[in-house]
Amino acid sequence: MTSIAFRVLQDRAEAEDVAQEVFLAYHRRHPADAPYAAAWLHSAAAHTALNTLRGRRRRERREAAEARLQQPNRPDPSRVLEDRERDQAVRAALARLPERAAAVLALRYSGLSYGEVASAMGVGINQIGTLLRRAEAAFRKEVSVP
Amino acid sequence: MRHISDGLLRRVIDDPLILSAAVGRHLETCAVCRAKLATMTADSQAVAGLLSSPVPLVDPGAARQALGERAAPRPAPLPPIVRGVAARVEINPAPAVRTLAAVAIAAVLVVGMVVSGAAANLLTIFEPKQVTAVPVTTTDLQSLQGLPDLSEYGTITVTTQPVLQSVTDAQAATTASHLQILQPSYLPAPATGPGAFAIVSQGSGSFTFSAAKAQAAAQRHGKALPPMPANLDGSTLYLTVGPAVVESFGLSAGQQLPSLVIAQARVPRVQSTGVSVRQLENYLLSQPGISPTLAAQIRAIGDPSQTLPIPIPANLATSHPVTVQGVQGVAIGDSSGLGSALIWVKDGVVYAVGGTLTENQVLQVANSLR
Repeated sequence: MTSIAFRVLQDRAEAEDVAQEVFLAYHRRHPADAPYAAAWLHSAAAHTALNTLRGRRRRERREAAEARLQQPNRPDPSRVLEDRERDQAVRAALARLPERAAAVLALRYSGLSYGEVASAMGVGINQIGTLLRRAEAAFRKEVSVP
Repeated sequence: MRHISDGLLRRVIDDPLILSAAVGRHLETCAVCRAKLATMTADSQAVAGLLSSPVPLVDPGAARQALGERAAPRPAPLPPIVRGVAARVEINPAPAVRTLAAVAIAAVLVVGMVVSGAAANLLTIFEPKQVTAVPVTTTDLQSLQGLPDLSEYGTITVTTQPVLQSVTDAQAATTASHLQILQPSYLPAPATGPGAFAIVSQGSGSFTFSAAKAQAAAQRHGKALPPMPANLDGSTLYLTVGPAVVESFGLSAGQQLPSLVIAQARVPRVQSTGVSVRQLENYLLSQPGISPTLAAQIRAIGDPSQTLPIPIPANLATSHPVTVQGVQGVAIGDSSGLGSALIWVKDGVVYAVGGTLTENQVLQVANSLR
């Protein structure tokens, strides 16, 4: 779950918070040995992380605007800036994607098999290739948009 | 024949064996489908590059602390040896790949590709059914470490990052790993039960050879590398490892190493597209770091597609064949006489049992696994 959330948030502490939140939410409402536990947890981790990302994007935009007003020309080492810009571009692209597309990327690239991704998304395993293909094409297009 | 659907084509990238023979033949000859597959592969590699920051390994201690007393059951503590293994299995293509593990993987790739009689453009499978010891001298190791990184011979793509987690018991390990976990009925004195379980999920990746990259690297390092055969350039190997389950016994407070470790993993699998295996073998074994003796030993392996070579550092350990669980395995003893280990393959699973025990004790544990 941490791995799925990390794919989306690129931040270990935030990813662990999401995993903890999801785990507790499950624990409160469902029996521990339910057959749907893994699929529920995987799916919830992806969607909660995406919601957190969207909230954070709004906050970051507001903070960045405020920072620009206060310190118009603050220098930054170019390498750090490059890495940060890349991370931001990845997160921004994920946030702009339709929820299902972002979720399939987070689930698959966190290491789940096609079968596990299918269970988490509640679709047949044969649809995963199509969903993944469309999501990858859309994600690549979004990343190339500044 | 109709063109292959986008969904199926995308899945081929992760699982080249998914196609039926007829659809596979269509893909070989259909320019439209091949062009689509190339675009999809480029997209998926680009996405993997963007999303494949190293996965932070879950720290069960911190997670437990964070959860406090609110949630049960608690995850089992992760033994230190497993943390060590975890540090090694975390695949990160960026830093230099110069470790013994990389050499071992390369050796597995080499022999995996050496399938007698296999023709070019066929999918080649490496699924070991037995193990054999390959003694490696200190000189071998030093000259292998002088070779350029694997990443300088082509492009490494990690499709599925292996993830480590600790689990409470054998039942949970079976559920999470889909492996049939064998348990010992005999435990020697220093190793007391119950064991602590950790699992590593399945990992997969691919490696695409690039003649231009290899040549550029050779020039950068001022080394002469043999030219890469034309049909090797651009061909891809797919490697799947795991899942694996590690059970450790006799780990008490203050002890750095458990006295007994039992590991079981699905055998590694290598698949290949469009490469002549003979040329691949010749190319890899002709690299400057491979001594003629080591090359001869690898070539001498009877059926390389079905044999997992275990590199034995000649100055640190000794090895000899042994019968375990009714099959032939390899017994390894470290030269200090303090520890021993057994490795064998049975029914698609590679097993390793080892610890600070005598070979007889380890053999008894191994034969008691049910």
